[in-house]
Amino acid sequence: MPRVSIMSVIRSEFLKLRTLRSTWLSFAITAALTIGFGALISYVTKMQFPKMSFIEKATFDPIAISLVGTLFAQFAVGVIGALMITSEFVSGSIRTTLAAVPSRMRVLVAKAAVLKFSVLIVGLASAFAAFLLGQLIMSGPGIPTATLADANTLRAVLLAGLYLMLLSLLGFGLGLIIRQTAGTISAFVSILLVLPLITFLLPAAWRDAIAKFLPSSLGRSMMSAPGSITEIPLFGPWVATGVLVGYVVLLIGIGAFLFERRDV
Amino acid sequence: MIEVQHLTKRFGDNLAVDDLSFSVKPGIVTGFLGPNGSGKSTTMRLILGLNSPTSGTATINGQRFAELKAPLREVGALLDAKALHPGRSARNQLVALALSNQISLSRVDEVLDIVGLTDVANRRAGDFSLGMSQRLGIASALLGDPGTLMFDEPINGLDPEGIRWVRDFFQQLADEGRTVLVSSHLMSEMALTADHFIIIGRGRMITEGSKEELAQSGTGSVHVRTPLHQEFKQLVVEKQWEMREEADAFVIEGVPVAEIGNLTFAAGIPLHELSAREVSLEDAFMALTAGSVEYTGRRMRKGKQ
Repeated sequence: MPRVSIMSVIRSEFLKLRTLRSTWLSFAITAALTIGFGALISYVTKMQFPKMSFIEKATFDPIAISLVGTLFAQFAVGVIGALMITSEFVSGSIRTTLAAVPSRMRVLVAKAAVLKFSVLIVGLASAFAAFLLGQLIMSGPGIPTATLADANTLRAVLLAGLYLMLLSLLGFGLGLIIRQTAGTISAFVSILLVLPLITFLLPAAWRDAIAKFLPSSLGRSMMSAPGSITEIPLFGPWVATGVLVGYVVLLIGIGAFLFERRDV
Repeated sequence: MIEVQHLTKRFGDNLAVDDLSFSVKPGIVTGFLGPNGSGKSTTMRLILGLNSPTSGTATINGQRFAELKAPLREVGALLDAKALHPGRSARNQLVALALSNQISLSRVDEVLDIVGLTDVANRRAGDFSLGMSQRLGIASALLGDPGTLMFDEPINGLDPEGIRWVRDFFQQLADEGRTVLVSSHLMSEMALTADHFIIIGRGRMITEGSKEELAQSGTGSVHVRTPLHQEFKQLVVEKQWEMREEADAFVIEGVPVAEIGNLTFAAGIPLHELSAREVSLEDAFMALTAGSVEYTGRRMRKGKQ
């Protein structure tokens, strides 16, 4: 007799994700923000380049500029990740889901897998498009641009896609814990926008010690050229990726622990 | 076959389900009754492993729900008709469930046809009326063609045609040898739908039995009309019967009609009427649950203050 398997649950969750209009809308917004803001900032930068100071020109990072749109798109993928689980709690459909698949860990793994896969595809495609369009816009006499033939450039673009995926999982982990859409999105936005503001109110020594751990700073590390000079000390790209993965594992771990035990 | 043994669920200070034991047998429709907040839904969630019991066990065909390999093929449940994502079409709600349990997609169209939603299958479930959502919920319970079915308040929101359909349909499912548990807070509805009743109040078992057994648990009344008021009243006092006067008749509670007939005959009291009024299942239910109603309304006072 056919039975519930992890693959059958993944197929079910994938169908659930793609049969909602909000999914397509959120993915379209993710791509539009990544590519659109990348193009806009690239154009503005190109216009300002001749007026830049010597130091500004020396630290000019065409990779980070073309990928800056991911810092806006991160909110869209966070919402996708949060809704993946909170929409079920809010509507009560989680009961229907679990009455069909009693193993909660199976449901959780399937949801996370579907989310990861979908956001990674859209994230990578958007990051590559934003990078190529940005370089095309900026190219001109005297302005340095980057090419994908360079290993570091390729790394930055790939990590930009990965950054979006990890942030959607961050939203998912928060959603598992908070179980409520508005609360989860508030928490997500607070972590990305409010925490950095608070750290910048701290004494410089504290700020320099703490700021690099913020998800938004980790994103900058992952998407910048190595050795680029920044106003605060940052981790290298791989350490930053590791720290962000750590956050995701921690949050989803806490969420999974609660999901397994709580009544629905 | 559903078996519940010493099931208890505590939410903080509140005992939602209190040492409940019963079994639901195949081949008949079992009505699960109780006032609002009596623990019916919580009991169903405990059976489905959605809530974990404080103590006690619930099994389906001898297995805990979490142990079932293909749950939808063993037990189908309608818990809350409105608990679905409003943006997804009716058909896709069912397809998602079918995929998770590897049920063929042709079965999705079959159950849509059974509940009569084929024409609106591609509409957003959020636009459905409560009655249509109930039908969709019944369709999802039927998806795996399970031997055990549970429906939580399935009649809410159905139109009269839908109520009649659902009644016949549950009976048909039971006749096919399935175990069917249907909850409701309306005895008048269940009296026509179920063969066996489990009645709970404040999370505790009040009584369990067939229609006949329940009707007997309530006391009937006997209406008596006679031209000899004084003589009859004297007999009533003598025998210590409980009596009240209603229009031109005397109403006696809890005394068999034969006994009244025999004694009035022996006393030489002519009777113009001697009729037993049977107690309705609803009266019996009200009497049984009177002590355990969580929320009671008050009659509105006449006139303005």
